[in-house]
Parts: sequence; C-alpha cells; structure tokens
Amino acid sequence: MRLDGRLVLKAYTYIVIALTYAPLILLALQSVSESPLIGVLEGFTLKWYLQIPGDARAREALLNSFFVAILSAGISVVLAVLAAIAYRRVRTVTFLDLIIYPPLILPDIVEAIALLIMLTSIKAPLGFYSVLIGHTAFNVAYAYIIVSPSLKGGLGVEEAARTLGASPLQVLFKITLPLAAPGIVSALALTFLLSFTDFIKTLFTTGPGFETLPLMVWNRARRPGLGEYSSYSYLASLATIMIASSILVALAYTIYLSRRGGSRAKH
Amino acid sequence: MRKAAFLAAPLALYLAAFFYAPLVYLALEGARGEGLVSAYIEALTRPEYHVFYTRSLVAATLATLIAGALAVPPAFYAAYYSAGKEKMLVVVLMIAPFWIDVLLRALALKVLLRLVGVGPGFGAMVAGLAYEVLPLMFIAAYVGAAFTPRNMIDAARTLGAGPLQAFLRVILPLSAPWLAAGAAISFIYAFSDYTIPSLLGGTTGYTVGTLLYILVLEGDRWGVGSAVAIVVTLATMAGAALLFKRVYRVEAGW
Repeated sequence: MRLDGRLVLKAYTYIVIALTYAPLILLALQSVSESPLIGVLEGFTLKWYLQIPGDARAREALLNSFFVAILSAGISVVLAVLAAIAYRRVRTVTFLDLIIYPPLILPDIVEAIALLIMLTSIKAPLGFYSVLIGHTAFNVAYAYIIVSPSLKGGLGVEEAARTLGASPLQVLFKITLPLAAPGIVSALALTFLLSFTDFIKTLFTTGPGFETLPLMVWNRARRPGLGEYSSYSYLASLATIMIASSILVALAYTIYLSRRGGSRAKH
Repeated sequence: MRKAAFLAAPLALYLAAFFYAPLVYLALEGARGEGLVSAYIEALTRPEYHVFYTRSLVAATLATLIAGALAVPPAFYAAYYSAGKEKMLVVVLMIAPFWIDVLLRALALKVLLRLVGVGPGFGAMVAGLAYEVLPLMFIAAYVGAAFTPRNMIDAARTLGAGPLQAFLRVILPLSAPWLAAGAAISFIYAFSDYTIPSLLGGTTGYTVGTLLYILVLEGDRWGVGSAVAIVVTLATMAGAALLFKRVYRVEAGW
C-alpha cells in the first residue's frame, strides 16, 4: 500500500520533469528542422545555425548583449564579493540582507519602468549604459546571494593559517579567495547569463538603436515570416544557443550547490 | 565593524541609486503633468483597465494553482521518498529552468503547444504562466518539506495515522507557510508578466503587463502607467503579507 503510493509519486515526478523539458527539446528539434514553419519538425539540417553569421542585425545584437553581460557580471560580482567580505563574520540578519531581497522579489517589469522614469527625468541617455545599469541592479543581488555563503566557509582554515604565521595578504590570496572560487565563478557565469538573456528589463530601459539578442529574437518572433532571418526555425537556433548555455551553467551550479549542501549535512 | 560597513557600502549605494531611488521616482511620477491623485483615480476606476486587471487575475490564479499541483508532489517526493543521486537529480532538474529567461521558455513552449494543436490564446497563456512559475513553486515546496523533518511522518505513522492522514495533517500544515510564500511570489510574477502574454496570449493577451507596456512604451502615459505599476506592486505585496499572516495564525493555532 505504502509502496504503491511512493511509486505513483515517483511516476508523477518524472512526468512533470518530462513536461518541463519537452518544450526545450522540441525547440532544439525545431532549430534543426528542414522546414521554417513552427511545429513542422522534419529532417535534420544545420542551415539555420549557419545563417547566423550572415545576419548583420544578429551580429550587432550579439555583440551588444555580450558587452553588457560581461561588464554587468564583472561589476556585480566585485560589489558582491566586497560586501560579502564585510559581512562574513555576521551570523544574524543584516541590513544588507533586508535591502538585497526586494530586487529579487519585485516583478522585473515594475523595476524596469521605475528605472526608465528616473533615467528619463534626469535626462540620462537610454541605450548601452541604461541597460547595463538596469541589469546590474538585479545582478548584484543574485551575485551577493551566490557569493556570500562561499566566503563564510573558510574562517576556521584562515584562523589556522594565521596561527601558523601567514600574513593577511597571504591569507586572502592563498586561503580566502581560492576557497570562495567556486562561488565566485558560479556568480560570474550566472550573472553573465542573466544579463545576456534578459528580456523585460532591456525592453523597458533601452533606447533607440540599441538592441540586444533577446530583444531582436522577440521582435521577430512576434511576427515570424518566411524571410531568411525571420522564420521560426532560424529564431529557434538563436534561442537554442541561449537556452543551452543557460541550462549548462545552471546545472553545473545547482549540482555544486547540492553537493555542498550534502557534504555539509554530513558533518 | 567599521571596515565591514565600508566594504559593503558600494553595493548598498548601488542598490540605493539604481533600485530604491527609481521606486521613489515611480511613486511620484503621477504628480508630474496629470496630477498624482487623478493618475491614481484613473488607474483604479477607468473601466477599460478593469478588463486587463480581471484577465490577469484569472490567468495568474489559474497558473499558480496549476504550477502548485505540478510542483508540490515532486517536491515531497524529492524531500521524503528519494535519496542520494536520485534526490539530487530531481531537485537539480526541477530548479534549473528557473535560470532560463522567460522569453526563451515561451518560445520553446510555443512549439509544443503548436504540436498539440493549441494556438495563441487564453489557454496557451495560462500554460505559459504556469510553466514560468513552476520552478519557483518547486523551490518553495521543497524548502518547506526539507524543514519538516522526516521523523515527523514516522511519528505520525507510529501513532496510527495512515499515509494520507500523515500527509494531510502533518506535512501539509507544517510546510504551508512555504507553499503560501511560493504561491504569493508565483502569483506576483504571473500577474504582472508581459513576455508570456505578448507571445502566447494572442488576442486575449490583454493583461496587466500588456497594459503597462501600452501605457509606458506605446502610449507615453507615464503618470497613469506608474500609478498602475504602484497599485499592482502594493496589491500583490498586500496579498502576500495577508497570506503570510493568515498562515502564521493557523500555525500558531494548532
């Protein structure tokens, strides 16, 4: 009786997982389909992927996305590491904890409109910098949450190193940062991807002439046609690349997290 | 401690300048031009807008319920009935889509819906919103279950409860605050989303997100747009707070 319940629960779980990944797999199949039409999955071709380099608008959008994402990831992780070092010995809820969660919970559309209104009021130009500023506002929060546990872990080892005569700089570069490295790398990769694939915040904070890859894909996906660069299969190739990078980094990070959690639970 | 405050300052200042200050501008925007009060009155009373609110309310409620029904059993399976590698696999696979932008998930879902013969419309939009918030619901339910120790079930079973009773009277009440939090956040996201309605909503995609897009990016009616954004934020936050309070009262009572 009990066993049956468990089996039903197990089957249900795997059905939900299959349902979650089916659309992603179908989009990948769409991107290698001979037909340009959505929902027509036939044959196998890489022609849609091979079209990407010839698409000048996509090239420009890709570069825009790349530069915003790399700068946003760099800035937000530096700010997050500094703040996490400041609070690493504090075990209670800090002021920073209170201000860091609202950017994660508030719907991004509200955040984006608020930033647009402020930037316009102070007559700041909209485009590269406004998008970068907007992305970094949510990225600092994610970076802090990812980085801060990895900086709290090494306090005992540092104490030992200091007792054994290591200088503060030696402790920082030989103990603290290497121990925090997985967290820092995760934060860089995840914030890069969050910015690179962001849609809503970019839509509301960009200005004329500055288009990122997700914006371009959305603009074309709203009215997919049969033109060279507007078919659903071509857009699927761009989206599949973004999804594949996101899912690989996300899987690596969550596996790292659950390993960490698992090994800590054993102590 | 001084050094601590100094190192955290850049991050705190960044958020103050580019997250909190914009919210103040948002709250005051209505005061420019149209007048603060009239902007709020228009946002709340104009009948044309009520269609958007109602549609979002229904779609977000359905999406949250569907996501809950899909996410809660896997969360309990992962927390109580699986171990080691399998547990990790379920958790990782359920959470990973959270990191894929909604735009990309919407494009992917569009293919599946087309294959099963569902075109853009209200049904597709609800499916899309549920797909969007599924990882959030899972995280909330899993964390809630993880905070409810396994031996609580064993204790209930030893004291004579059947598996169903143990679930309904022990696990569910104990993880209720977490489920409520997950549902509240999921609802906020689904209620204000623009991506899914724009790609999957078709002619029924007139939701709060669409209204904000029209008012702010197309119509240049920022006063009313910001009033709608503030009303949406306050309403959803109030809903979340109410839910938490209620759940805690239930918790304190039993």
